[in-house]
Amino acid sequence: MLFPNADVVVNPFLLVILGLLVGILGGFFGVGGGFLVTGGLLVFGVPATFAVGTGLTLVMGSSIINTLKHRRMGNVDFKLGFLMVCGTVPAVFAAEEVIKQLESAGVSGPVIRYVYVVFLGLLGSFIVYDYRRSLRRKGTGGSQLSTSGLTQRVQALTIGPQRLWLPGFGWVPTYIALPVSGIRRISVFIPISLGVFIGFFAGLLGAGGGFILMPVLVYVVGVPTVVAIGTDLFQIIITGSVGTFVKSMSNSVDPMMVVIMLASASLGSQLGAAATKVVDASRIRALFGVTILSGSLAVALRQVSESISGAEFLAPVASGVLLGFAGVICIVIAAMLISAKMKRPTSTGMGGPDTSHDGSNGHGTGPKTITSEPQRHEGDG
Amino acid sequence: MYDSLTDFLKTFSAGHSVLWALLVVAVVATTSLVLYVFWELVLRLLFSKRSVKKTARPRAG
Repeated sequence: MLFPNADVVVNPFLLVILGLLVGILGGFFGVGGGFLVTGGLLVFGVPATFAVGTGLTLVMGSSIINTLKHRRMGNVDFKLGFLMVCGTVPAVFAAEEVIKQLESAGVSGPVIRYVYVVFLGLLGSFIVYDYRRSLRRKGTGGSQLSTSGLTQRVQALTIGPQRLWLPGFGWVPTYIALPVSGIRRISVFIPISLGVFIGFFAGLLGAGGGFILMPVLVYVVGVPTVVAIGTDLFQIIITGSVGTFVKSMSNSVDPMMVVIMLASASLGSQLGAAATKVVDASRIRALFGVTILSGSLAVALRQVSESISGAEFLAPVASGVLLGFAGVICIVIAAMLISAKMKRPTSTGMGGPDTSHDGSNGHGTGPKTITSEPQRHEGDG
Repeated sequence: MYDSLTDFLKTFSAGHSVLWALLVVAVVATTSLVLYVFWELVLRLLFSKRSVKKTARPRAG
């Protein structure tokens, strides 16, 4: 099938498969999946500029679907999301300027890839280490985070004045409660600063930033994993929309490709989001860590293919590794969902009425810092 | 139909960059909402039928 804007012939069945993978991973991990779509489209022969632009547009669309699904499950902290967006959007534009400087120096490609490999490698290794540690301590604390001390200190941080004068709003408090995230009091400057940090890295790496934001919210702020996933997706809608608009202006988006991938991504999103209800939070984080490590490996292979002559064959291998790992992770998620459904046949999880309320969502009555995460269920928020 | 759509996509994207960008964002957002509602309804229907079947199953003996 010919796609007129990208002027390329691609088998639509491949796009449907790619969309399904992106939808499942997006719904389950709270990532946009930009790194996966772009890699996949490049393998299918789509020109690089269109692969990036079309990928970003799909990220925006699938994030809308995933956010709606997670909102219904009570997993989106809109207050936290809006605060982070205040920092993210300007930081993305600042990162664009840094990229321009790197491009003028002729080192943007390798620098971005090295940052990708090191950052993803460290992040993935830490998440897997944390999972192994929580397994060893299973008898004492279940899915307790290894950074629970850090999250307590971050939430207790005192930054700036208690109130701030804003034109049109008057005096507004700078310390707020985030009941959806189970946080009684936190300075607004913490999520805004995190938004700046994440927006800068996301802009630098040309991604939506979901793969950085989710672990930061869990391990640094102490947000429960499922709420981190939902809030992360909400934030990606904003950054994805800005990115889509900019890329469309430079005519590097093929909307027909996006609509085909979105059709299957929407089904994948339902499955991925439903799986977060039945899979243990520590397992979600462990699978996320493995996915991030596979991303790091894929980018490392691509860098080797470009820096060593005769190793060009590693470029398609890198994309194959990424797609292969994504496929395996999706199969694991589907298997977990099916096995959970067979154990609990009364809980529907994918749109039907949920009968599995346990009331333990960490809202209000529990400890103010989430160190051990109860599973949240639909209707709890 | 396909040819006229192709022509429209090519000419509009080349001639009106801001309108084109707005159109892309609007089309993707609307498609996402429609697909979300569609799958929600389909899955609800599917699971409600399944639960009705389970409750309607006659007891042995």
